[in-house]
Amino acid sequence: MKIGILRVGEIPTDVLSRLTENLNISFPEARCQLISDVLALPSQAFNNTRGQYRSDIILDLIKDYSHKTKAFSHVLGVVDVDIYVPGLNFVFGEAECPGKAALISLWRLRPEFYGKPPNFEVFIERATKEAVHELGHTLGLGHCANPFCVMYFSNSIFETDRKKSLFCNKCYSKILSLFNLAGKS
Amino acid sequence: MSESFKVKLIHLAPVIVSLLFSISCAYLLMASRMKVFEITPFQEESPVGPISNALYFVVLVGLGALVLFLLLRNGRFRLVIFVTGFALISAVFLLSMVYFYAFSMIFVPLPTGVLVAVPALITVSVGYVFYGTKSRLCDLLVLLLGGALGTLLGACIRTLSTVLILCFLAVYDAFAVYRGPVGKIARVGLEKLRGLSFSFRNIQMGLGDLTFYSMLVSHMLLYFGVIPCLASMAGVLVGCFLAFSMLEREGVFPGLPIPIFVGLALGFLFVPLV
Repeated sequence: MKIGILRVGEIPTDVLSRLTENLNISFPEARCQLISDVLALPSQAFNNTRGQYRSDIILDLIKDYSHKTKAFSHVLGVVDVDIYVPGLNFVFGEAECPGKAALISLWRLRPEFYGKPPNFEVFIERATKEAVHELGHTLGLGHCANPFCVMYFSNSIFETDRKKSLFCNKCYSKILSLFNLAGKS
Repeated sequence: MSESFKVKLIHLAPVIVSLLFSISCAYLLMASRMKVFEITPFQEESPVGPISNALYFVVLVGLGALVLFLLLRNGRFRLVIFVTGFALISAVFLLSMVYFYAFSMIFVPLPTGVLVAVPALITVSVGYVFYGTKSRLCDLLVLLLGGALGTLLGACIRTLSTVLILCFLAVYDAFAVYRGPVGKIARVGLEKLRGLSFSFRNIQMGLGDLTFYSMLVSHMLLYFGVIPCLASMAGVLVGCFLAFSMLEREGVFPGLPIPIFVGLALGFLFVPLV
């Protein structure tokens, strides 16, 4: 498994390099690497009244990119804008389930967004959790009922903070069985 | 309502209590920064989405009132109590879950068991007050329920849909009170249906009126900020005072049109200042 991290719009480099490091730890069997290409944020994804970007439109862009470049089995797009899907006021990320493309937004992960003092470590930890969560979807995992599993659906940043950046035993077994099935086919 | 009824500022007290509770609920949702699901069936962004949502709500409210009226007219009072009781208890449980969850998100994340047990306890207590006692506390709970329900609607429905739903319902209310089922239900005796209305110093208001005032005020807070919220609250109160004044002459008067239109006008007047 080879995971590519793709910038969509401007993203601080230090954030991406830390995220890459962390993903290499979270997915020890995979190789995670920063893609040098940078995609521009699609203007048609911006909703003027909401002041937010539609994540499904950005995800389509990442999907197209991931199909064009064969170098990666999974592509994780990273944006630093507020994203939403119709029906929800915001999302932390979105992914194909299963599939190749995933997307996370850094916008609501900074402690400053919640009126707290900046904390780079907390911010990176949150970004890692969201990235592992969305990549978990691309592997075919659904949401998990265990509030400490990374696949738990975060309804707010408090729940992102509560969960770990790891899969619970049940989800990990699912990944293993999915990989075994893939290996056999 | 007695013959000697004269409207005074004190008559606004229940509406103020309900709106202040609504603002507190909206603050909880805001501070928790939790994801809010939109509950309208049609997408706000689609060209006819907001108007379809407004029609959907009016049809739902109209059908609900009609069914209630037909059941009452046919003497199915026990069935009405059961249906409205079930709806009220479900609403109390759902609302307590949402707000207790938001509360826990702000202060201390709690295990799922507690997040279900506490709302269940609240629901049982509220149910006991509604159906097990004849306490005046019931009236207070109706005010709080209207505030909490309106806030959830105000949070889960986007602006254009909210405005159109409120306008359509205000127009429907004017019709329903004089010609439709609402006025007929009121004449049958709204006070017999526990939890659906409250009375205060000769004024009787329905839960729906409080819900939609709160929906407007909380929406203004959540989507536009404090100043438009306070302006819309002032508008609702001025509108209520005018509507209560009409009660002096009419005996029955629709509670939604004047407060909603004045509240909307004043609220949006202050939006550009934000």
